Amino acid sequence: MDLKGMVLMEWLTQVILMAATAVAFVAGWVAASFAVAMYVFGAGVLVALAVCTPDWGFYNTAPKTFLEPVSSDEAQFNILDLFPSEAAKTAAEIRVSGGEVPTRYNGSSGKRRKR
Amino acid sequence: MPLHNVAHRMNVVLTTAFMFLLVLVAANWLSHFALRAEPRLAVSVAKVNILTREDFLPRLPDMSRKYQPLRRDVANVSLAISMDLTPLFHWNTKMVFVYAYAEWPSKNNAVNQIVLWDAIAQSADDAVLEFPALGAEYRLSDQGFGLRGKTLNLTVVYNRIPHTGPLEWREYPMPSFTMPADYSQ
Repeated sequence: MDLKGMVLMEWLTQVILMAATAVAFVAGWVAASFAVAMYVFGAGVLVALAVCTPDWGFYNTAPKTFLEPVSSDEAQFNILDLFPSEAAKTAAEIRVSGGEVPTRYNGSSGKRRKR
Repeated sequence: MPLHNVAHRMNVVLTTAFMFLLVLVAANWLSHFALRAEPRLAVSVAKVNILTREDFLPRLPDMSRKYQPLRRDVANVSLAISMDLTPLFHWNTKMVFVYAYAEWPSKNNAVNQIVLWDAIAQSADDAVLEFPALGAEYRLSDQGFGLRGKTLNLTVVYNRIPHTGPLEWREYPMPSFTMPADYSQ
């Protein structure tokens, strides 16, 4: 079930059980028997269980999409891409002092350090 | 709690179902205020069959305190019963218990009460009782010899047991009757 499906399922339980209570009351009043009311309500509970407990297709109309899984080599981040304004300022200082502007930061690479 | 597996979902459905069951039961109780009606009850004593005295010592070797000699008046009556309990039966009634008791004062007690007859009606089919002269189930007995010539009050009570809600009982006083002036045998 996705999130919309969960909301739908909860709404359906309330509506089905409210309808079951109303129908059971009317049936018991008309038949002048409390046993009839209990049986009708029990049938309503079974209907609610059948509709709301299994993971039917109509509960999955907006499934949550996740990104493709990547390997740990590809999952490195480049700190120069994460902070471009700071990288530009440092690159300007390096050019003024006559050095070579790197495209990658060759220090820590963003992977978790192995202990 | 999120509803990501069957156990959680079943928990939600069954808990909500139980709450609505309580609503149904409360509605059943409240509806009986609209369905109440008075029954018709009439019980009287048709005949006092036998009035005797019991005055003997039980024949036992051990005359301990438990076995006191029985010294009492005992009577057997027949009741004329005419009852219609069908107005009491609606969808909130489980059964109706009806009984009749006799009441009289005596020398040692301010009030003596004895149940003479009772009956249980489980549905509206058993709710009409017509007996011109029914021998009472239980005998009238006094603590002593004071029943001759006594006037006894008769009262009939019904006790309706519902499916939901508190018990309901009402008393109806019935015509009183007088015991014969002397023993019958």
